[in-house]
Amino acid sequence: MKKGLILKGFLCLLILCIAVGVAQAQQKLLGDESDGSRAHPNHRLRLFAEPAEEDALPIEIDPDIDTTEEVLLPFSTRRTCGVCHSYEIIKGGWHFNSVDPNVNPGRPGQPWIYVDARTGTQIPLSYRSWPGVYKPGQFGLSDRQFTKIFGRQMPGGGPGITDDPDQVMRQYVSGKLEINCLCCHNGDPRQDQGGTNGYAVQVSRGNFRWAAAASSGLAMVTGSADDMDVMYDPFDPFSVETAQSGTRKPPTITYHKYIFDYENTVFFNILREAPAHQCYFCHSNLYIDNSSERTEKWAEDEDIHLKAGLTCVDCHRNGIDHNIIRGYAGEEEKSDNEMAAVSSCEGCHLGEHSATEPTAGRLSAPVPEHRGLPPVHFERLTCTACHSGPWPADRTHLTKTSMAHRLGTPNVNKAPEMLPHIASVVFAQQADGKIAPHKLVWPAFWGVLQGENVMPVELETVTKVIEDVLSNEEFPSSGDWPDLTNDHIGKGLSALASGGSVDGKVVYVAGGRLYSLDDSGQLNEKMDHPAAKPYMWPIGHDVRPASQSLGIRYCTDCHGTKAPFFFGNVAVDTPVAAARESKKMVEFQDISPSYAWAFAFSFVFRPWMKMVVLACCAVMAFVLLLYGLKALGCAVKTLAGEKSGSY
Amino acid sequence: MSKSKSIRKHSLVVNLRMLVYLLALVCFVVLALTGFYPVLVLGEHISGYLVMLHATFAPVFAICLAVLAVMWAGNCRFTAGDWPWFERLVQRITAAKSAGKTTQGKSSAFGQKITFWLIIFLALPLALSIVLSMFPLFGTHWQELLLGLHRYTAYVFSVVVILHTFLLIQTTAKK
Repeated sequence: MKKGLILKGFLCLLILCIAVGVAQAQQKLLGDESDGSRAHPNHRLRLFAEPAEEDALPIEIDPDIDTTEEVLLPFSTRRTCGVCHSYEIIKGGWHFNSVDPNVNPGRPGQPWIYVDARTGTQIPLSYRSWPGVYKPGQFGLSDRQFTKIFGRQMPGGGPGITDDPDQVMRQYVSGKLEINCLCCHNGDPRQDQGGTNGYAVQVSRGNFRWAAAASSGLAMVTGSADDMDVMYDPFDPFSVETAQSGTRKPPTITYHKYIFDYENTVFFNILREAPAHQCYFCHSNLYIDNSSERTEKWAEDEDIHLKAGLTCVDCHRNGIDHNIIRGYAGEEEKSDNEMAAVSSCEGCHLGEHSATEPTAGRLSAPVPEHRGLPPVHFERLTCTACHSGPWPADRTHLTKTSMAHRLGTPNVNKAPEMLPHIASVVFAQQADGKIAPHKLVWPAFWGVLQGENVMPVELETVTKVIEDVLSNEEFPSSGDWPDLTNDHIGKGLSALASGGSVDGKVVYVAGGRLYSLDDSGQLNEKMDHPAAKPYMWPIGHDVRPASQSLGIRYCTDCHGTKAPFFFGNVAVDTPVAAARESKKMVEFQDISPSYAWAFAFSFVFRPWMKMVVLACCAVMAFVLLLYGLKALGCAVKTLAGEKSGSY
Repeated sequence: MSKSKSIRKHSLVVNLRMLVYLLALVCFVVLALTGFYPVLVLGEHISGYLVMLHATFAPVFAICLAVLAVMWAGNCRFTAGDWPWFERLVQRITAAKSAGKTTQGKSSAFGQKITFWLIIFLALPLALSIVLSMFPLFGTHWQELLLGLHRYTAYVFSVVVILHTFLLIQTTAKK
């Protein structure tokens, strides 16, 4: 009886285990797990489009359909790639999960910067909770609006795929900006992120549904979803045909000839490891040389790791979950990526101390010697402080980035002064107490004081009110700030306060100052308000080799009385012309400027000190030797039985 | 005339030696305070104004030690009277003839001499460990070793200096 019960219990447990195992095995799709082959994966795929209704089956694309009966749709990466790769797992990856509040934001990263010279606005935005950035919603931007502005350099997902209850119809017309696998993984040289009909342009036209296909090199998309009425139905052939006969064309896709084979499949040249030039579309930096305004790529060196033969993804790795390694020290405490610890600078070059296997020297990383460098530097500085970014100059470089200046997209304003104004390299103390090189942007926006915090006034209100106030001003064609005065600020604050659309005390934040009107209507300026602090994010690249690192010549590379590391000028950027000044780098390092100067000054005497101490040591050594030899002589005499003297 | 000149010269040397010794003591106090306070009390590395003070007094201390080494080495030579037990031991081992007289050791002077030579001897690793680390000769591992050497030599050095000063004061008080 008892034995029977035990047997039944055991069988139940076994069945349960098998059921769980089978369920887990079913969750994994063909491409979710590698079989171990390192060979190039061949992708010959049927194309599937997103159906009109979320729950419906995907629509297989047939280029030979009768367009009077059906609409030729763009293929959906979610439906096409998602046949073999779990879209739901992938969308939790770092590049796509910014809207998930449960994701640890980690070290502050580059924000999206909304700029508008006409309203004196330059505000760092991010869905991640980095101190100093504002959520797009706080600035009055819906996910769709945000995607339309910044989606040009997003690989889809994130705010591009959230449901917007206020714009359901508009979202139906434009579709969602799905994760575009091809942004990174398409090895086809025709992959077009920034061309005149490429990804960025499609996003700006509101053609979210068409963007991936349009940029894939397999098709051409014309028309604009934004030009369509919200009642337009992109799945209805009649609606499409009617719209096509109008002056404003609906988004229409034409697949290139011969891409479909006899089985109606299409060849994709998919690369497991994204090539660097594809990362560069969103992650390029342009440091504008202060002296020559040099902006040409050929005059700049790339990251030493790329020159050594590595690619971005050799260090910035991820699995199917796309939880890519950002590569900063301490990331392993915040990331689930098991290789985070061994993929930082220290991880490769020094090895992970807790690792069970030797990890130093991975990917041929030389183990640094740091000859003559006092170890205290490793406690106070990040590796990047000496090795990354451009060589520091007396004044910070104006810097352009892909994400901030939409580099690589059509009609970019190439003027060096083009907003936003990002300053680099700024050697500043980061959260872990170490000094690291940073990029810096001074926030400038109209806001409302809420206790100690300042919440930005919504974009729509600002645009309506402030553009009117500044309508008579001249705006430089370079995209630079206009030269505003305190009078302009006062008028802007009055206009916002009197408009009735803003509750609370209206303020303007710019150049590290907080402007407000007092009860008598006079303009007040408050320095060092927390909301006016610059937003900074650490620089990782380009890494310079040891022979071009700070301190390679002498300590005075940093510890000089005029060394930029401590005494470089950081431009304080603001539309208010009278408030444009500069701050010393040391002010961002939590170090007393007088101490930094005195310490640097002591290095003038450092060579003398070394010589003096060495000379003194020589004298003492000589005395020791002299009397030691004398003592030896006496000892020898004593041992020989002769009369001993003094030793 | 020449005798008084010689006496004057001798007293000048003695005064100079005392002055240098006092200066060395001041430097030692400053160096010990600036060096040990952050490490032993605060549990941190020496930094800030303390390191500047430390680095300023260090070469002065080195000069003082070098001067004292030159001026005091002659006086601190060991004599047979400093260690009769050693002489007896040597004679017993080597079966050498006894001088016939047993000299009493001057323990205080012997201690002073020992500590003086120890100071000069320890000053070398103490100073060299930190000065050599300032040249691009040693990598991080050796830098840390040199820093450790500097620290632990400093502990021993401090004990020896304190002992030497104590013995010196004791001798002076006896006189």
